[in-house]
Amino acid sequence: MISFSGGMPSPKNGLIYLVLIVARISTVHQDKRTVFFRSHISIGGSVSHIVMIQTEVRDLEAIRQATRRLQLPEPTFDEVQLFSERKTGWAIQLRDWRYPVVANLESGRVDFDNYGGRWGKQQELDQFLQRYAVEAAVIQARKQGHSTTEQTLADGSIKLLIQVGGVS
Amino acid sequence: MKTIEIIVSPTGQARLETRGFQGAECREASRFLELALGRKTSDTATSEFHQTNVQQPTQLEQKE
Repeated sequence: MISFSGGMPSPKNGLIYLVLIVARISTVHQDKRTVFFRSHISIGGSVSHIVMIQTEVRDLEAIRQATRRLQLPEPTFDEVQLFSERKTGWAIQLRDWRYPVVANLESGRVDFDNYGGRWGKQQELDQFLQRYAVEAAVIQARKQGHSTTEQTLADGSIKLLIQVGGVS
Repeated sequence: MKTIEIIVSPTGQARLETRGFQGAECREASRFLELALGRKTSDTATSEFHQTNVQQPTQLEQKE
């Protein structure tokens, strides 16, 4: 929608409005009484959907793969003393973190105490979660017989392309 | 070609998009990945219109 802030449109706004109309209508035929224009109508097509997912840590094999890729120690199942409480689960020792993070595979939750970043950089945990998500997706895709291609993007995201029915 | 694209952000959030599927097939095809990755926070259906564009004239009457 285009709106002007009261009064008559200025010549500049009128020009912008005109340009937008011209851009929208591909062809215009005009006579004294009738305007014809061609509209583009698409028929058929495939359907897609976009899903946003908050990563939960539930797959031990993906945890192991992620720690290997990030060159972290192997995870161990343990009762871990964080600063003020004890947690039981898969302990993952992140780089330069005072306490390990503890993954509960039942809930998908990761417990940690990094004292607001003083005892370990959040970036290290984020990197682990990113790598975990990629490995979890790759493992499941390959189980289904799909091929996968991984690419690191300029903003640090990792793009995983899964070709359904392909062979990796 | 049927593909599923996943982009995992530097903080570990995932965006999954299916391409080239017909109808409900796309949701079926990606369900195993959604389950593997975690908790779905949004799900948006989109339409890919990459088949033939048909040009059709439309007539508008001008008022006197």
